[in-house]
Amino acid sequence: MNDCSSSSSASPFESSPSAVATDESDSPHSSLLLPNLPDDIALQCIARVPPFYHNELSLVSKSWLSMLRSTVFLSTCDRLNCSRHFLYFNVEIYGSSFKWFALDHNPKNPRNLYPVPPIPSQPIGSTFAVLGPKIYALGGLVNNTLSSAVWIFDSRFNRWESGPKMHIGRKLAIAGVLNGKIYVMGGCGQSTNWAEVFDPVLGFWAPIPSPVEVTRRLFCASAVMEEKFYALAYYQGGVVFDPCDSSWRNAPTELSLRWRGRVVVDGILYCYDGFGKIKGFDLKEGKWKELKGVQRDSPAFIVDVVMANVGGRLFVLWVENRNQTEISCSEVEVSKDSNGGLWGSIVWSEVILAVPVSSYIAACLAVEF
Amino acid sequence: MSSTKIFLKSSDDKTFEIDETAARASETLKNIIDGGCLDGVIPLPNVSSNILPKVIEYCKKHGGDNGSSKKIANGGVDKDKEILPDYDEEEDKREKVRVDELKKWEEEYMDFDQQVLYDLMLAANYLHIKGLLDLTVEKAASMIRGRTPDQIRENFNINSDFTPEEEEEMILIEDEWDDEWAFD
Repeated sequence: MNDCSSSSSASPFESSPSAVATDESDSPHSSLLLPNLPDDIALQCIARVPPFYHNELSLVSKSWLSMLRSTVFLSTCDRLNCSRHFLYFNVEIYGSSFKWFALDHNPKNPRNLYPVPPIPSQPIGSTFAVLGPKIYALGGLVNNTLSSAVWIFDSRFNRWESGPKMHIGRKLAIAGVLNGKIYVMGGCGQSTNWAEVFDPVLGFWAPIPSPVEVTRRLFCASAVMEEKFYALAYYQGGVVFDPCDSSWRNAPTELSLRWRGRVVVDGILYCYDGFGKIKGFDLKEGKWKELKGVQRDSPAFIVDVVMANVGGRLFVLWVENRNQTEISCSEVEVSKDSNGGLWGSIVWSEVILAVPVSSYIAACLAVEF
Repeated sequence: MSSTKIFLKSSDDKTFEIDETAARASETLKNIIDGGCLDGVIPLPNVSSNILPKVIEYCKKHGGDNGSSKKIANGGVDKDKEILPDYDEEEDKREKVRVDELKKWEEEYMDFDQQVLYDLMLAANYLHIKGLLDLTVEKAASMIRGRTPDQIRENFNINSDFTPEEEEEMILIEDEWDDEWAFD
């Protein structure tokens, strides 16, 4: 999962915009990066700054610029071996364009959000999955045609690359990660490739046999719980796929009742109920419960809610129309009381971005690297 | 546990006392102790008497216990926990209290100016105290992240060695990135 070894020896900075002649050599730098500190320690300090800052850091000085492009720096980043979790999200301005952002909330930071490079040509209605430090954008619609293209963003190097294609084009499919593999289903017509699995070690997609009564359904959301893939359907009921024995079963009916924003934290599936409340589904008890302590006063303005599990914390992002359209974010610490009640306490909550009226959040993903 | 005393001599010839168990938080000191070359006082020509007590304070807190500091580095979550067969909820709670207490201690401990930060980083590097090096390096990183290039240059006293022409081009690049923010 969290393989920090470099999969690419090329400098990720070589494609970054540069009008300045730079020293590309990997020899230790004679000029000091942080005055009064040896360069090897300064390197360690700068390597700990998350990659989405690196573009901006190259404006500090010439020595910073060439340091950020050196393989010495990249191998220092690789050796850090400290796991960090960040939230990445994708805003779609309806029918027009996409923007990617990384969130680094820190009360001491002057700002929370950093732009992330866009997918070179992002299809509409892609499906997203995260494997360790990498975001996978699967399929979508390109020129009104279902695409089988896969784009992979490596958050350690802050760039997108095209990846191995799926066997079939799809849009608005459902996807989840189990045992270090990506499972993708639906978003296409009935096909022997209706469900596929991607093994990043082997680097290719393999079809998963799926029964016709499953492929006929229209799935709208998925969740991974207890090592199984839950596919939730609007009307026909959800199914559970168990990769251990490749079996398909019907999911609890209750489970398909809610699907907005869904994310799993500590084994509980959280969703937004559309009326200002967050509900959690406990698989063991088989019912939805309100997440207490986080209720909002005015849910009427909320257009869209998405969630992510960032290092064990529930992050809720929503688009809200008040005087203008804005995206807000709350970080919520969730816990379970002795009676099985779900409690949330808001760690911080603020407006993070003003967006055009017709915007919504196409993806909200927690990345670990 | 042995509580043999070790004596450390700073670069400016002041002697400090530390328990052997605490001193073992430093790989360098551990090797000296285990190597049996202990001859009364260990001279530390790279560490001054301003900073040595601070280092000793850290070692006292962490001597003989690297587990908790590792957990903090992982954001307080022990990833291996789930696969432990004898997972114990009570023990987990106690561990959480311990980690929280340590975090609070570290917060207070780390409240100092940039010069001390640099000196401490150098001392931790020289003495191979991994936990302290992680802590100080992370603090320096937090002074970089989220700052503009101008703020970074000012905070760390860095000269922008770009020529005026290059500077202008860099500003153009910066403007380009700022455009990535803008919704058109």
